[in-house]
Amino acid sequence: MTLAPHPLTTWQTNAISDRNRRILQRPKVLEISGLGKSFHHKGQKNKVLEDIEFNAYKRELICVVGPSGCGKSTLARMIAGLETIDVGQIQVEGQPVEGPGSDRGMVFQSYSLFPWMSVKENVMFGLTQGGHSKNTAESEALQWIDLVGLEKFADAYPHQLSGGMKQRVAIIRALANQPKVLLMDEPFAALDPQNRLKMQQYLLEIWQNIDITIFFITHDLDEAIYLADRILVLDANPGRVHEIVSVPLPRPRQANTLLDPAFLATKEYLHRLVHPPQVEVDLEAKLSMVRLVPVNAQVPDIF
Amino acid sequence: MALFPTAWTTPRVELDNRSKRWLTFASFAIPILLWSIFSYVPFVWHPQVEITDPGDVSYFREGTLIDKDIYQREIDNLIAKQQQNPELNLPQGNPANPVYLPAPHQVLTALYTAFKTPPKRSNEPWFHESLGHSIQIIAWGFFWSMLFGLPLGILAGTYDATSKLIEPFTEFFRYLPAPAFGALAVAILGIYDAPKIAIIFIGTFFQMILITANTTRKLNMAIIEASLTLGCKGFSLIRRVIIPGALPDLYRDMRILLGWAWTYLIVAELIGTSSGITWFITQQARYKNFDNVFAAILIIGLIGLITDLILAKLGKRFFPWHNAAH
Repeated sequence: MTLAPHPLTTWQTNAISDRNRRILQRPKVLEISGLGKSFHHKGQKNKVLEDIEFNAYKRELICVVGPSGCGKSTLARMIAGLETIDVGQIQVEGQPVEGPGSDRGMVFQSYSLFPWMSVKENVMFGLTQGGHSKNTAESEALQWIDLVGLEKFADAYPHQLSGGMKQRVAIIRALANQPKVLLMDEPFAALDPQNRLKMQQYLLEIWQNIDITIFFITHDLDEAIYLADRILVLDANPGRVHEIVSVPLPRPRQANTLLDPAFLATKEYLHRLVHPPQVEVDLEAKLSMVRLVPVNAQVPDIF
Repeated sequence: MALFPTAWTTPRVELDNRSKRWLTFASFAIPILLWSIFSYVPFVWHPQVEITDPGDVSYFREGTLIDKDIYQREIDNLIAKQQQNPELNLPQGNPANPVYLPAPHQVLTALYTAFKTPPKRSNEPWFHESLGHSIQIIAWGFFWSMLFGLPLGILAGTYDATSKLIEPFTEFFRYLPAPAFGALAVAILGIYDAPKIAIIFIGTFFQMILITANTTRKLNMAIIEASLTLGCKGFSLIRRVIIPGALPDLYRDMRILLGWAWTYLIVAELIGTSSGITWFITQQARYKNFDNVFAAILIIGLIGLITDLILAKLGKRFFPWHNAAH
């Protein structure tokens, strides 16, 4: 039996595959081995994740996609230490994960800023918690706020900010703590498409300039391809690693990346992985069973 | 044409300011209007007659209140006797309400005179002193409740372990009626203020634990998880995240519980030596000064309403981020 070449290899130019090879030679930041997790519901055991093997390398940007219910959020929460591990192990720079800690920052989909604190105090929170004095924490927080262009809002409260601004604050709040891994659980899902694209560009800009490995959960394939070095594709029920796809796109991303043929081919390919073809319901036949438009309707059809 | 503006009959839509003011006014005006109708319209209720001229009925005196049917019977009697003795005079009277329903203007005057009337005996307190004593009892009882109830409630709301340890017993104890502990409280704490404070405490403390625990539990989990991933845990988590996050809702709970404390006050003040506003009310009822009784009850209501309004305003000042967040 001969293995067919991977459909995306045609798009891997030398420069891209060379870069991808070099990524895999970097030191490992995140090592997941033999990871499994089940939830118990009404006496029934429900396997969410099974036998996950995955490594992320230093300063890599990983996106995780998969059908809903594949446990991608659970995976991120387990790395963060917010869910217990049933079997297997997660290591961050060689240290096994045993609970939440400041070496793994997290940005949530719901805005999780502290509503009683100003933007500045939110960003200072992790710093003062980590033992920084108030003054150093404040000057450092202001630098981060400046970086994402929110200096005018340093003393504003979260309810005065737009959705995109809130997520920018959530990101720098996590980054100010200098974590080794930044976990992002569908952070831009609640934003409108235009703001989402702007935030993705923001994120890439920040990521390029600081020493951080990003583990980004999303259900938006465009987002995953636009952001990721490699995309971890999960199966559902139970969540298993289906494939790890290296994105065949050059960095930095261009304005027209979303229309690039390599981008579209990757999207097509991922789409088939994540949403396998389903049996189509014969809607036409069912519709004929019910009379939906009266015979003497003023507009008998829409064509 | 609709009977009401459409905004009044649309579910959960905020009213315009004019309607709001109108309805708030009406909410007080309607009960006062009903009360006035009963008090001032002679053919509504008025089951008694106030004698203005006793005539030739031996036991009628000017100013006494007589039931209508007895009054009518005496008149019928007299009319029958008049045939033999035309000299007899018929009594005169106006329809009146029983002494326990004073008219609004009488209560209004009493609101003022209650403060001005010196006590019957020199060692008895003035009205404002009674009131002050009541407020003191409430304040102490509520203070002790908060001192122990809030920390226990917050702990129970934070950790499942403390919740399971504290809440089942509290759940049981809160069904024991606080006044039932009256005799016990007097036996242990004496007859003065301590047992009264204890009743207020028992009445609010157990509810406070449960309500505080529930409110604390309602704090958005994402906020707690975010702080965990920022390296915050243990006592620091409670101090920096859970307490400030739950504080506006806890503050609202305390406002509601303070109202409950007032309902326990009357029972508490009957325990041991009667004191405070309850002493004033029972004393005035004994002298049949029901206008003073109503005045005292109204003052409790006013104090409750005014403190709540002040606390609500202060709450908006303290937690400007809270209501805007919704």
